[in-house]
Amino acid sequence: MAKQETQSGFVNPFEPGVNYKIFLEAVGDKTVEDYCKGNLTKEQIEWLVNDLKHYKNK
Amino acid sequence: MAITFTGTTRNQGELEEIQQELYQDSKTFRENIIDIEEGHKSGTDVYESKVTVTMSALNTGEVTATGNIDLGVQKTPVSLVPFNYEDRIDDNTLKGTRFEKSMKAGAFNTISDEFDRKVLIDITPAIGADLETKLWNGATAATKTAVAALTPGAAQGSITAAAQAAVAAMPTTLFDSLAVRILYNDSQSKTVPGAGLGDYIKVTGTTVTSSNIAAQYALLYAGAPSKVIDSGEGAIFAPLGDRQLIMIANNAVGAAQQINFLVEGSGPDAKISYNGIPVYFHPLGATFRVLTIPKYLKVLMDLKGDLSSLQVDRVANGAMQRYIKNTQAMSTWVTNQRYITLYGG
Repeated sequence: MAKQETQSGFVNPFEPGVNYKIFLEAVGDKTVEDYCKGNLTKEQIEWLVNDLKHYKNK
Repeated sequence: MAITFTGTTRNQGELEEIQQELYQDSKTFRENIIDIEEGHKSGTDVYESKVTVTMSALNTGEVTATGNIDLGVQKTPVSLVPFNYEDRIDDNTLKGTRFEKSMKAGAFNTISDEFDRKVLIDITPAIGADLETKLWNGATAATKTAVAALTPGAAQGSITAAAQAAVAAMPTTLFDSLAVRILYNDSQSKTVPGAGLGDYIKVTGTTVTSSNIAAQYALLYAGAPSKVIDSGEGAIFAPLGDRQLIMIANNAVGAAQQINFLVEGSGPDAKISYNGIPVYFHPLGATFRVLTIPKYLKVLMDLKGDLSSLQVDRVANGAMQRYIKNTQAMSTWVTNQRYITLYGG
């Protein structure tokens, strides 16, 4: 399945079809904040970081 | 000469009223806001239909099978789950207490009329309170496993990790609560029929406080389809604690008061609404709020009267004990899922 990429290569986690597995593969070694800066709003990034705490703790 | 006393003392008085538990009764069955369907024993088929049409250029010839009018009907079988609340009690335990006073004479007679009137009578309210919680917050072991196996995400069409964690933390119950049915079900009426994530409209959530509750309700309201808002039948189902948060938000101390929620009346019967949508408070977990047309949320059961029906009788063969049993069959279901907005899902 193709990743939902923009021309800049950003995989938008809020795009339908993108789950956290796909998103975190795209984030790689960066932090979520650094990866998303400029592509998502501050509120979206904050929400994402909080929700990912539940995912990573699984 | 000092008074000497040998033996044990005991209290000579007692508080007349027995201090009883406070039961939150089953509002769902009392208020009948959502769809309560009786008359189902083991299961039922739920039918949904949807008609879609496609405009085409004028055809002056014979009508052919264009495929431009689609009459879709889907059937999903829903099984009811039978369950009971049952136990045995030994009234002999009450000898030596105030309840002995109301036992009839005769060594075989140990049933206390006062105990039945003041304590045993609380069984059906306790059952009502327990069911009310399970209707809104709880998941079966199988559903918990299925939800845990989903890959979460932020986008529409995926479950958030917070919602997944909330389901994992729910009490394990014999039937799925309405919140869990919205999240995960095997309806044949979904875009992808069969067992999987529900077709609900997702609104991402956060920890709701009195400071942000108005903003969070705004997200839920904005996320709902206009068909639901404009129907005049929409309702919000919210956690019990939201009532207090809303009242605090509406009466902010020291700040210029901005009324975001309309509160009509006062006390526990006060009616609260947000932008014309009534808010009903139920024991939903703190994560979720639902905005939909209430009839899309269903409780399927055999008989509503089963809630308050109790068998109490002597155990057989001369045993000086009684059995207590309440039997019910129930399931939850959701229809028209594309019109159910779930905050926190």
